[in-house]
Amino acid sequence: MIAYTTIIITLLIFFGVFPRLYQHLFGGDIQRFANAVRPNPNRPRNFRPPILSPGSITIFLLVFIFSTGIKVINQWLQSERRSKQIENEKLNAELSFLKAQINPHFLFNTLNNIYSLAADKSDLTAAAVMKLSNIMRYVLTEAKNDTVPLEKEIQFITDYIELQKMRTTDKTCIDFIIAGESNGKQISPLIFLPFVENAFKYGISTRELSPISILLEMQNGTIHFQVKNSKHKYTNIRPAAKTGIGISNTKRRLDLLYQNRYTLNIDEDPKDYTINLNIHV
Amino acid sequence: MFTCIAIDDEPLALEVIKKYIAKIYFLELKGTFTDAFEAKKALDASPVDILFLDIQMPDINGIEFSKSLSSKNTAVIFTTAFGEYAVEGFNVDAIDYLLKPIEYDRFLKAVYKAKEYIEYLNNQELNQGYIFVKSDYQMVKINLKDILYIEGLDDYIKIYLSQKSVLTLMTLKTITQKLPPKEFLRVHRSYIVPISKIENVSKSKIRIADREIPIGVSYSDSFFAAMEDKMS
Repeated sequence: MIAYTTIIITLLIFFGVFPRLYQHLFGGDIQRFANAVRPNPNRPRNFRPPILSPGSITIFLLVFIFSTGIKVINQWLQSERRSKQIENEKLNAELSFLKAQINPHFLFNTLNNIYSLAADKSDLTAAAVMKLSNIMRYVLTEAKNDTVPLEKEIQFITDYIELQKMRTTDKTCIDFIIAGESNGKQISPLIFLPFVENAFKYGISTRELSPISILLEMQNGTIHFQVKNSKHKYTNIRPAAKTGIGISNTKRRLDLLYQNRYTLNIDEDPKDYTINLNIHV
Repeated sequence: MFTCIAIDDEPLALEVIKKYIAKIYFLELKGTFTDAFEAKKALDASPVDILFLDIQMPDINGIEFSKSLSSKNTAVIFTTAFGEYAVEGFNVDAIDYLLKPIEYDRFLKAVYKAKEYIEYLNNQELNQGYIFVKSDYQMVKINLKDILYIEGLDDYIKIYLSQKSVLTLMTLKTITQKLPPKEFLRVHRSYIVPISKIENVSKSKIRIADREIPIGVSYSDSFFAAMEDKMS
């Protein structure tokens, strides 16, 4: 915008003001010179071309239209690029659910747990199948949309956590608290998942107590999401994996979708790892 | 019997393996562990023949774990939900690699592979193995495959070979620790016999090379359980 104004003003000065100024300063000399070379008795001695001569107006308009055109095209390209980027990020998130993020380990281990329940003819089998089916359906259908109703995203996270509970030992206790009303709010799908996944990936030990607490609070159009997990000295976190591609992808998505409308804080101390995400929707 | 242990961080996954092991008559489950470090303690105290080992575990990776095993005679069968580690698994001499959920037939196949491997190791130990014992101020080499049976005489033992016998200052307990446990069985307070040399067994006697060896009452159960494995 600033560049655009500068260009307009510069052009105005150049085509409008500058010729006058020029004439004002050196007008006499040029006039004298002109008269000497080609005397014109019809011309008044103190001739000054008008500021808004048809010529300068035409030039001004041409420049104005041209620069406005550039500006509009630029803006259009930018928004196009942005929506494409959002599209790509979302596509990545969808794909990564099946590929890496809700990783195959989760899927097959969950299936194995269900297999175990079924082999035991356990009453929990049907419920587990239902939950897995819910989250698969969510990922395959809902996650395509730009936004989904907040309740659906919450239901998805709930099912996911329930299935994870089935996999863990009694060393892990999981707290999942939902507070407030979703009030028909919309949210970008799978936005909370990477944080929850990471808590289960890095916050679990079969040796030490490993509590995980997840809080989702909705208040006046603001969603506060907190995930807290303990850290374990034995947990084999590879330094490269620690920053997690999942989180960096999510940060990019947040930047694109909720620019200036979200805050993400990651607090790490020797014992715990906490993320706080606030989104204004 | 072949002893085994299963390690998996997921309790329900262990349930499946437990159930399968219970179906196989020659397997004896010594324990299941969700904590690999506890399992390591148990394995160091008494090694097992077969180890069912998950790969993706929170505290330690199963492949790293298998490298840390002190007994080289343990057959490792990896169990994992996702196939990305197969190549690495075979690099650490795994017997087999099972993908969860595991089908019983596939599990059985892996167990038979492990059984064959252990029997092969035992045979090799028996056919090429030897011990030296002190006798008459000499060190005498004794090939394990030549031993017919061993008799304990207070502080001495008498090792019977096909042509001769060797008397040495040693207890039956000491010699037991030097012999392959699957082949040499204590059948009596005073006798150790190699299974492969047994000609026939009656209720209370074993016949080897035309000699009769009594079966002690307190050794009878473990002896007949071991014989069960050899029945076809």
